[in-house]
Amino acid sequence: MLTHNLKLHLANDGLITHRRDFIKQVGIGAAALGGLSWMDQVRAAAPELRKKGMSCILLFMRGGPSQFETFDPKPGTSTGGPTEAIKTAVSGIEIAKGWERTAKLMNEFAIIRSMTSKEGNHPRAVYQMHTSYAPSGSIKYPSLGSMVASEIADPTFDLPHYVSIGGGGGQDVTGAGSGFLGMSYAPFAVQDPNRLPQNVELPTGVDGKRLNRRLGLMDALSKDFANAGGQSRVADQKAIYQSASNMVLSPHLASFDLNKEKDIARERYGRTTFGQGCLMARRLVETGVTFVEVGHGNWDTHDDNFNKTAKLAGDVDQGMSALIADLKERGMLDKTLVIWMGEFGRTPNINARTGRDHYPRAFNVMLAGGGIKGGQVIGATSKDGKDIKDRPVNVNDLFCSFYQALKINPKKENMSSVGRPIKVVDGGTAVKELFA
Amino acid sequence: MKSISKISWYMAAIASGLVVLGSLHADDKKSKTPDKNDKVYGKKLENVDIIPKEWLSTTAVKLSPAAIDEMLKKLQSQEGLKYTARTTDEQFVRRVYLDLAGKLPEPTDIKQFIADKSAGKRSELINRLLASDDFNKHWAKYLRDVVATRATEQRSKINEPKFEAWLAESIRKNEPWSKMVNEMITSTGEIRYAGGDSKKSDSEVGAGHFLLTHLGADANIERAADTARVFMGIQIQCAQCHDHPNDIWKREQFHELVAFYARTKDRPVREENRIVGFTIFSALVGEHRMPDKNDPQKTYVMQPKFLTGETPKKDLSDEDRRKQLAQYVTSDKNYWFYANMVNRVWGDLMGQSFYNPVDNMGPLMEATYPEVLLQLAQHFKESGTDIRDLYRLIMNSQTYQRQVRLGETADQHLHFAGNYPSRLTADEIWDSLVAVLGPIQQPQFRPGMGKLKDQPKTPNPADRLARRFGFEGQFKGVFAFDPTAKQDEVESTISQALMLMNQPQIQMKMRNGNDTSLGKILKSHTNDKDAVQAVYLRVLARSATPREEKISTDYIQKFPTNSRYAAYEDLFWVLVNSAEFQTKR
Repeated sequence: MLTHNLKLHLANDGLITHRRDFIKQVGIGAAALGGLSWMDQVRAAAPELRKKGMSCILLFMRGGPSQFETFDPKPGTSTGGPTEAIKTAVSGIEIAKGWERTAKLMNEFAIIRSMTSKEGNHPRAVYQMHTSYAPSGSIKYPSLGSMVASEIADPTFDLPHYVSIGGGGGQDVTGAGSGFLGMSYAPFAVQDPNRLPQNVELPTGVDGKRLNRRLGLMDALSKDFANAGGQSRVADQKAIYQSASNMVLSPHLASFDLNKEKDIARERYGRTTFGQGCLMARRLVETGVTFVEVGHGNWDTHDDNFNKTAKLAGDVDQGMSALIADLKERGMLDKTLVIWMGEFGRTPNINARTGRDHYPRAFNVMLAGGGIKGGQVIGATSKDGKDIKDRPVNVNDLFCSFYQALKINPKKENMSSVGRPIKVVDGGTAVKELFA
Repeated sequence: MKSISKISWYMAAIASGLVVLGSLHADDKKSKTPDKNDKVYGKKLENVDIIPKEWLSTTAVKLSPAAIDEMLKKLQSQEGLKYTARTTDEQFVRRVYLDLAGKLPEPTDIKQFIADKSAGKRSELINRLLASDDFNKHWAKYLRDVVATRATEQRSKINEPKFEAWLAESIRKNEPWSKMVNEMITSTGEIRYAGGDSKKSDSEVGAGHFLLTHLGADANIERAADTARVFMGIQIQCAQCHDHPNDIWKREQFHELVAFYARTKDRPVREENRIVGFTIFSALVGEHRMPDKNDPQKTYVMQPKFLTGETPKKDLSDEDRRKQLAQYVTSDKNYWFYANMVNRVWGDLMGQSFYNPVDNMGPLMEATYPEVLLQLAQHFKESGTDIRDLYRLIMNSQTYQRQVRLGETADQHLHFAGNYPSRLTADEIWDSLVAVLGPIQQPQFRPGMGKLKDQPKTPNPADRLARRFGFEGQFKGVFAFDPTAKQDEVESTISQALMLMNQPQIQMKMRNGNDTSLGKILKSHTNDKDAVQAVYLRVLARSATPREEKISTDYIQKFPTNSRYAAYEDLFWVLVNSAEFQTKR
């Protein structure tokens, strides 16, 4: 009853090019065979699918965090406002007050102060900072998370490869989806890290055996509808149910349960949704999840910028620093790229409501782990923060850097659903200073 | 499918040398709208008509369903398409219920319809459902999703029920679509959050929701973009920053459209320091400024000018600007306004549209059989933009009443030789589930919540929404998708599978019990074959095929008699969890 034509489209370099077909085939094949002989074929044909042991945690600040109140303060200038700068563990590097825990770990972080882009509209900029592409009507570009998952995740791993934590995460975030890579690499959304994801526990009276029995019957009974015009819907449904049941029956599911952590560990990250999200991210990566996004909102400070950012910084400073320290203690930091960024920065001018407006022209991002050389600042803005003074880094350069750290070739092309080859990143050069 | 020639008025213009374009006849796979990389732009692009000449020259038409079939057949015959068969009565009744009432028919409805021998029974069923309140509610939900899915203001979600109430009331009164659009564009005043203290009824204030889905600094840019997208099917917002890469729109044109809203403002309604809603009001002065392409610090004042070229008088008040805008949008001359609603309804009913996705219309966008769309749009205009009449017209055609099929790939356009098996919306899945299982209760507890002290003090927005809208809202949140997206791009998620697979309240209703749907079936059917057929009719609204009946009874009969109910629970679960349950067919 199993037919699975494993049509791998191989390019000259032996890489699979028709990713979407491939995913469908693997998804269905996995469901049907439980992952044996087809997997050998895949392994033989596509060595790059083997997990490189790398993973990535993206801390995304929704709304556009102010560079002045984070890692590019300008104390004593009119554009800098009342925000003070503090010293860090690296002499010569100062960041904004409110980030004391991060300051202590400055040896791990590389700050890029010369980020620049052109998108000043939230959804479009969020899309670009997730995909490296501007939104397009004809092609749905995959997000960084989906791309990384499709490139380096272990296909036999039984939890989702890409987990998105925090309200408004997952499919709600424009550009955070799997695009043309298909649903196998779509983000699995966890709304609240303080409890298990919804509906992962089997209901009363159903055990793994009965679930599998039901899936077998479902498979047998889906044929007539498939033949009557529903084949692709049936195939998608089957793949998704296989992933869902793998997850439900997985012993790894416990990595979603923060009650398994000691109170002291939970306090360390801070009892905020973001802090606990960072803790869950560490647990997931430790178990084998490839990409975790932890979202943090309300950075769109058009009014009352200074009070608001002080509070926001408090949550993020504690969660992020605990994450870095914890990863380092566990020996995981070298293999885990941690990214802190938002969709754009904020205006040097302080508006009438003591707020700052959107400013994509010059903003900052920060990287740690994953082999990134920490303890350095890359690029600089002018004294008033209006312009980039040194070494502009655009979105493509940034994404090339992410991929290089994760040992993924940013020049590789994937075939999109409209039959046009799409590069992982369309242009750009990795920021070489990040890699010592 | 064979290579198919695409026809459009613009292509004709192009062929006559006005525009230098590449190939006129593109095959299905490769065909795409002009791309800046393809060097398709000639110098005379400005000669492309924004409104097709055919629209202005065609005289009034009143179409019959047969005339649509006739027109399509003529075009389809040149392409060697293979038609799917006419739907059986059983298939037809499910599809029509889902398309008009948004839920599954009851088993008795199906049986009665099949037993009815009268010739006009399909038309009668369409008429009956079109006249039902279910249709008003269903249509309101569809349009609510079109507007709300792209909302940039999350707080506006709380007001969706008011918008829905206004839409349902408008369609109940059979208001023309043009009147509804007019009200949405010109609305002023406040909407208070559901539960907020307001003297006005939901349906009185609901029209304002269209403008209140976007708030704050960028709101007017989004409002202008949605005006073009929702009412004209035109995506012009990318012209905010640069000229449209695939169509004729210039950056200035977008900002001139924004200028109609330049004095439209919003502010929160406060009571005792709490925000209880939002209000739209008019500023007395102010103009929209377009930032310079290279230096965003430099800006230019923009005056209102509509996409089709009309310019209102100078220095109009906010009210007059928006009245003027509504008039331009709904003007007899504006082809895109009429074509947009036809294209949307056609896509909703057929699974695929003339323009795909449905809001990807425009002078240079590629369409399938644009000449048929033009005729339908004429009809819609002549009917006085009567939404019900449009549904009736399309649904009585043979074209609509054909069986479903997929092309060789999920995204292949069938050219209307068959109906495309599209996914049910979140509302349709919920209502179908309630029809099958009965009312589903709010969960008493949330598993895995952990200790109370571990809960964050401020719940996240998704939680707040779940609290407000209950389990139903949560369920629909998991199954929601953008109704404007192309059907082949709508994908299932693991969260959806987990919901139907494990969610405790839903699972309880699928078990054998005194008052469950399955329990009642088992009590009234002692014979396995009959019981299997009854389960199929209840869940999938059709009878089981002989093969399905055999697989099911074989499965059931492997169980000892005293635990046979467990096998039926499995069968019931399998059908509720099947792809077919969530698919129009």
